[in-house]
Amino acid sequence: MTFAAALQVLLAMSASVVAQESPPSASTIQMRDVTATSGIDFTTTSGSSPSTQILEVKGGGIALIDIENDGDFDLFFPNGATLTSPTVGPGARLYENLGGLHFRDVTLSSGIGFHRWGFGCAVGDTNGDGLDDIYIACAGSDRLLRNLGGGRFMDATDEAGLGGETAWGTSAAFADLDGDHDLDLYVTNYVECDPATPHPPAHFRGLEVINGPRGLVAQPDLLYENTGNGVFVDRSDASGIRSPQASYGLNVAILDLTQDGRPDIFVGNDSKSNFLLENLGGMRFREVGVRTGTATNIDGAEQATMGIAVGDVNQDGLADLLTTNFSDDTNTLHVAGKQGFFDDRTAQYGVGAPSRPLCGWGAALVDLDHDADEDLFIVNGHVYPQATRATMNSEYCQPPLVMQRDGARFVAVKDPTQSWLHTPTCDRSLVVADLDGDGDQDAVVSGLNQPIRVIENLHPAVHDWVIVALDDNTHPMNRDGIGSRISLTSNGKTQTRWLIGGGPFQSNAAPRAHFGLGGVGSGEGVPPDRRVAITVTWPDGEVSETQVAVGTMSTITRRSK
Amino acid sequence: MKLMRIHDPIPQFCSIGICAAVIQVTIGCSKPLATAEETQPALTATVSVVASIPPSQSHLSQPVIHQNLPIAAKLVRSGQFLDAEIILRSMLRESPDCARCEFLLGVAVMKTKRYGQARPLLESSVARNQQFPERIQVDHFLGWTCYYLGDLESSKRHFQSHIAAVPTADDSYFGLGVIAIDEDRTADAQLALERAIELIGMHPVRARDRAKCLARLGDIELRRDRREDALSLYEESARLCPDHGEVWGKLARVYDSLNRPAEAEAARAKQSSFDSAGRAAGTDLTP
Repeated sequence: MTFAAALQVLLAMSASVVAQESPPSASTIQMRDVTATSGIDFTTTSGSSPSTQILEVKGGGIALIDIENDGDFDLFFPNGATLTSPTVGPGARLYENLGGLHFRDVTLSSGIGFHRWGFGCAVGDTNGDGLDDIYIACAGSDRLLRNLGGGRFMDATDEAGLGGETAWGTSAAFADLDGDHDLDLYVTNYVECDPATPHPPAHFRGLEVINGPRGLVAQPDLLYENTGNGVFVDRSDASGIRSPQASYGLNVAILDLTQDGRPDIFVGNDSKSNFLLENLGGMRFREVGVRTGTATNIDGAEQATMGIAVGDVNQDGLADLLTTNFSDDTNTLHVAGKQGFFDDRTAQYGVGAPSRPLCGWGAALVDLDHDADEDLFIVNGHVYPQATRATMNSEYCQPPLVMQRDGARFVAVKDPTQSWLHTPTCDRSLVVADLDGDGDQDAVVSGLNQPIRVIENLHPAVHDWVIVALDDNTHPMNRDGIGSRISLTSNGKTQTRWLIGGGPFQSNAAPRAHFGLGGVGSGEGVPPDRRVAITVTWPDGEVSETQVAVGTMSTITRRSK
Repeated sequence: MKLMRIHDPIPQFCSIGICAAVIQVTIGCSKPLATAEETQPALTATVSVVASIPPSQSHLSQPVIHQNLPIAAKLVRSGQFLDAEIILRSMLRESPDCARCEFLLGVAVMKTKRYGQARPLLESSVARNQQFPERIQVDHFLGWTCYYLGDLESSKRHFQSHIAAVPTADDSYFGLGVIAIDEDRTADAQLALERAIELIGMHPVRARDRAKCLARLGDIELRRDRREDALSLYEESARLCPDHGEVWGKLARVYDSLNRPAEAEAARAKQSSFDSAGRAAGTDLTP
């Protein structure tokens, strides 16, 4: 190549840059922090600040749960404890959704007296009584809070056959893993950790920092089978989930990733290869993370894998996985291929570079601006209190990363008018759902020793959306249809969502499918008759097809044939 | 024309413009997709190429000289970054206006992956408008520093400036290629990487650098869904530089995707052996 040709390369690059730059100054994604008026004035406890032990840096999850089946999501926060009092913390909190993004603390009247060091939450109706229960992964024995109705809960851990182990549980997920129409349970466990005998510090970038997980003893995950009446039996060994060596499990998402109709278990392991536990049927699993490309990134590198977002970035009907990772690394986008292999398409979709200075946690692929594609919402925060731009290229407190889908790429939203986007915090968990009934997706964020935040989506009140909930009357132990695949077709374009177990980070994904339709009246978005086609593939493979009206939350009920 | 290697004495003739000199080019031993250990410019490489100092540098002032600069430079060149940092910080306390001290400290800090700290040092070393022998390379170091901070725009600008000053700067072409991959400009990326390979040449001493470019070209073919082509490039890369663990990792994934499990396992074993060796040699236990 001549020098002139080389210059041409440079010029070509510069021209391309112009085309790729300029993220919208005023984004079509408009959100705001409404915590102050939400009625949630709760500061989480996760050890002390600054953190000194690994137990203090994971934070706690958030459960989206419709306590009384009134159609909206209430909020449960397990909350943590401290190193000096690791088994008795300030206690969990339950907030009832009053509508309009207003909540009321109903912890006392609920009877919830959970004071352990809680981390992950899973939500599901474990005994088929029509009411969702809450499982809390804890440092020490996990707990099951059974929903008694009337806003009351009781600790049903023992009667459910749970809580016999004492590992440090980080995340949990319910799904029907053996095809018998009830909800089984997977729990990720992390490292051996005793607050009374702290691990010696490690070193990172020349600084003394919190030790772990590398070098610490990993604890194996748990798999419980629901025997059909809300009583669980430990199948961890028999199922094969422990065939791979125990790892540092941080997060779990359950859905069909191997395209065989059975839900598989994707486990995010910290600093180790992720597991993809392929469901072989009959409650048997085998590890195929390496073979399917989900274990590592494009370089075969093991990553931290805190958050897991499930979506369909290329709208091919196959579920893709976005995982969040440590700073100085990038988040990773694994895109499913027809042959069952997940290619790392991080660079192609533009989700790598903006994440490099961030330490990512809870994540969601969600259409925030209703333009008929999924955007990306990630919360961030470093684990080492010593982290600064100078010491670790990354600040301890970090702003969220919202990436708007713009054509073939995701582009970071930098809208200066949205102050919440630029406020550094030390976040961990994120849930997204329509919390105020206006059809767009709001968010709740929790972090380390900081107030819970409620973020309202300000998308204009136009009927350019659809929300679908499921009601499986034929199988009361999984009425919400966790494990279902829901597709929406409008104007020849099909979007797909999955009702998954687990998800963002230590939290549950909403058991509802939200779709943006891409404009009203333009002919490309909302169809003239204002109805769209919905196809539901239920967990057992049966398919239902129907139509729903745009601008509504529709419950699709499955009835006996 | 005088040939000079990096370990030679500091040149004294660079304060005027249009003075052709042979300057050590900082060759990056890159890890494709930018894992930090290897995608960094190294002062320790021993390849010399011709570069000309552009006329625009004629306005530069005489450098602030500190007597310990040769020692510090030697420490940086020999990879003793932490020792160099201690000395350079002390020197900067005595001579806070010494641009070359800032540059060398910036490099030492950058080489220990503290890019956030390195960036202002490197920027300041240029802003002082003093002549120092490595000045022409600052953009190259800033290019990688900004890259690792996620600032692709600045990174690109610095690599382009470096190439404008040192047209044979293969590692800056490589940097532009890496950025173009991140921006999904595959045609640009291919051009830049091929240019880098052309500049690197075929000498065995540069095999590792050629290998890293081939690995990135493999990434581009993968992006284009041309797995067999990607495989060939990764294989060639691994052949050229068999101790580059990351390439084995890439290879393993492609074998997996092509349902060639035995070859995938063999590649993964290679990767693991190099990863383990790297980890054992490192001081960072976490993350």
